[in-house]
Amino acid sequence: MSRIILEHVTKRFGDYAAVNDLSLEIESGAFFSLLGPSGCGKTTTMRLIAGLETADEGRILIDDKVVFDAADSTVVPPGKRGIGMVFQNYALWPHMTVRENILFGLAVRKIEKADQEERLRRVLSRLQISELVDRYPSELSGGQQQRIALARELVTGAKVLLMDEPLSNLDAKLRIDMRVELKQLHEETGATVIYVTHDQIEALTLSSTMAVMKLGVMQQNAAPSEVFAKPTNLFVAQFMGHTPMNILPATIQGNSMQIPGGSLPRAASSASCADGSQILIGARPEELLLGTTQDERSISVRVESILPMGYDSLVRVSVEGAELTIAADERTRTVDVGDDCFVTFDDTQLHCFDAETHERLG
Amino acid sequence: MNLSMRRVRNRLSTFAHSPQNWLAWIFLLVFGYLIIVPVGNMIWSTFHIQSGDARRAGGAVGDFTMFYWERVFASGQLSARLLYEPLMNTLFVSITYTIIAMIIGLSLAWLMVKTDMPFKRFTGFCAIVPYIVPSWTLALAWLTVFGNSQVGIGAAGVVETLLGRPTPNWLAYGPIPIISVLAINFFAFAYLLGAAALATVDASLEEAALIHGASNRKVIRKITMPILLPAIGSAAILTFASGLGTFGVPAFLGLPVRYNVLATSLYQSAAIGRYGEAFVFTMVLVTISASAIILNSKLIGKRKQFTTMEGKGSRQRVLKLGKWRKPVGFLVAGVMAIVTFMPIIFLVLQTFQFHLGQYSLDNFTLAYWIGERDGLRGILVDPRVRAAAVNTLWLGISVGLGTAFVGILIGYSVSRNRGRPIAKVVEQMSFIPYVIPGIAFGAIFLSMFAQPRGPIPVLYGTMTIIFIACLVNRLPFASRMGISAMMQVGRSLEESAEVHGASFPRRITRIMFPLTKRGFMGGFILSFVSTVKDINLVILLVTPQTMVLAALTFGYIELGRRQFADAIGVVIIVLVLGCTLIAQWLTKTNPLQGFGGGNS
Repeated sequence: MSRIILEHVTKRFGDYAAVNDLSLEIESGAFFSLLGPSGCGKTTTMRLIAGLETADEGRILIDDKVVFDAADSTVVPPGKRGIGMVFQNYALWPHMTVRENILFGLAVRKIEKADQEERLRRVLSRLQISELVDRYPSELSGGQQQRIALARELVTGAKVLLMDEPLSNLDAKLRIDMRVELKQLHEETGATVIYVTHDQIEALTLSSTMAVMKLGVMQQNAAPSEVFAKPTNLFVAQFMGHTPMNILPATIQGNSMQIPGGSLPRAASSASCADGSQILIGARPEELLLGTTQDERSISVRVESILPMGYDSLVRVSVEGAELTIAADERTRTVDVGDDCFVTFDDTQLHCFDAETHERLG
Repeated sequence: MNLSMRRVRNRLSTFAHSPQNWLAWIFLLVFGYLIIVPVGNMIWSTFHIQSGDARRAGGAVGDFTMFYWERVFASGQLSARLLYEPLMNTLFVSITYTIIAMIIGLSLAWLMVKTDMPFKRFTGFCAIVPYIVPSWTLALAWLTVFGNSQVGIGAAGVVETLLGRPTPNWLAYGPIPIISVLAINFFAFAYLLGAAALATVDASLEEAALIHGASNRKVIRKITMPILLPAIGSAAILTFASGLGTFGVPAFLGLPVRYNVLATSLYQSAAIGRYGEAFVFTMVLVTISASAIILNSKLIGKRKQFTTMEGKGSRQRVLKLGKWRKPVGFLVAGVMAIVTFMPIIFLVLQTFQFHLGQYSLDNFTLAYWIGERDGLRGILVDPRVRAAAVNTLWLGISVGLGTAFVGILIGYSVSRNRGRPIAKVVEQMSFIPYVIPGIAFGAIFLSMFAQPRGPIPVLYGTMTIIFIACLVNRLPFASRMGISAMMQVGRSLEESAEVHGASFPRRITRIMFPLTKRGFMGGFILSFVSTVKDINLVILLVTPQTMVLAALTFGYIELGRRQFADAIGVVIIVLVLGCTLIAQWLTKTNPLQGFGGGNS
């Protein structure tokens, strides 16, 4: 239905490729997030789909119709692509009331007056903003403006909704409420949503699939759970997660791996590595265990600092010049700053990366 | 009893220890005496017989009379000549130059902000030069180019020399030259306001409409233009009000053919001692100017104002000019360069011409700079000019320092009293001078201080009155500069010094001043510049002993000694351009926006 396909799309600004040879297929009805640090090309990708930027190479299809093709210079203007877009700053027209803002798109499309009013009424009551209809944008709070911006795009019945960091200007509490609301709206409308964000929690909680980008290149495109559990390279591994993943250098020796402070049984995913080769191993703070007993999967460390965070604490330990962060359960924590203790690794969950290419092993 | 005594004492002590409070009250009193009282006094004067008018008005000096108002407004032919003709001329000239300046200024703003036209830096620099140089030097330059030998003491300009026959009078003097010169002078003002407004229209507003299927033309018509319209209207009104009371340009280009505007009528009445009439003209001028400014503040009332003048940089949709890019860039840069540099070049050339308008080497002379001609010594060796230069520098520096200093203190008391009525009153009072054109200001101060007022002696004929008039005239600028500087510093920096036990003078000198140094220096230089180049405000207040350079040129022009006036014009242009560039560099901003726009 409203499938979106990008084939080898490249967009350059001067010499810099903001989007580099990007191929992507977004299923109809998907909630698809583009995630990455600022400057990674996620917003540019969205603007290419919208038609606000024109790519230099490649092909873009929406709903199986070619909306852009560099080969024969097909460029369908944004208004003819059947999309809606919520901007980061909402882009509400300041000289129009809420009503005029919402009805603008319908008027341009020459929808009948009665139908316009009916659609307006429905979208207002759905988003619970009926009482705001005669206000100007400057008279609305940030959260209200956000709802109007959504209403303006929903009212046209667009089957593809593009959202450019729509929640980033809201305060924390409102952001969580709107997340729930967005998820419900997505389910109700069945529209394909493309969602640009730099907030991984948003991407993880909302998306059905997500892509992580870096410097114009897509790093991984998968379901959120998979991106989290099996990051495709070191960049994705460190970008995802509350606290960055711990990374340690390791040397393969027979059935074990030498790491600072000791050795661990060789991780299953390092099967392809030759004896004596150098790799990087990664473990999330939540995947490490802090304790006072030693076994073959643990190394001896010293506690440097403790940051209590309610249920958990972030415990920072040092070992032979390396540092590790461990998320410890505050109720069972027994160690304190200055103590010598042990960190236990779970070798089934260890992430292994090539020391040179930083690609995931196994 | 004891309790209430203590409460009063506590209140007093709190008051004494909060400088923002007593500063605000001091400003209230001083502004009242230097703004409200003089205006009231002038209005009173128009209804009472002035000294010397007893016989004409048929009563005793000081008696109530409608003589002046009747004479100006309801005396048939006389009123037509005195008021209605100059009034119509003023409106015609002001409205026309405003329209032209807006068209040029806004087109330039659009090209600079919304297209990928090349040479923007150069063009932008050129565009503001005619706005920095005094408008009366542009009038002098106009005469060097288009002047003819037909009228009175006129001499051939470049065009007449080239064509071999006199340029027509309408091109040399009267409304067309006045309109042209003011349009050249003010288009940069419209450009700066327009560019600031355009820059605040974020691209996403236009893109959102594109997504909804609007065509490019529809986006401009339904989105961009309506958002800009209030700002454009406001820019037009401010442009109109800024040039309404200009004296120098119509004096140099209009008077030789008896083309009068209100400013010149006002001056002529005052010059022959008819102060009653002059004050009525002043009232008319102030009324028009104030109406325009009030209309403007109504127009930019809350809901209708969509753009902010202190625009945050936003993303722009830049129109690609494609193959037109280079030609448009060259054309615009070229026109701007000509408009900017040609007048100055011809002005400089003329100062070396023994006979006006003869462009040949044997006509070259240094007489007007370091020599002598017909009993008048060159401006660099004439003690009168030197005295005027000393006066000018003294005035410029003291007004500059005064503006910056008062501005910081106003900023301090207003920003620290934010939200309280007194802050609003002080701020608004400091903006009143903005609605009073310069020459009207001179008249108001003349009416106030031409006679002793209580303990204050007659100030007319002293540098003090000129200093006070210039300072009060600069108050809107000072206040705006000071308030924004103080808002930027924020309260906590000062409060932490207070916690450490620093006294108010110490906090001002050690904390607030160092932090606002750049703004202070910028404010000082810009006030210095506008004082040095001003002729409108001082023309009614100067006497031979308190002559300043800009006003001196008027005397030379009346004698038909244009080269002397040109030479002084060149000196002031150099001074003014240099200082403005320094201020720009110091404040790292575009200081010009503080020039005209006094209302925040």
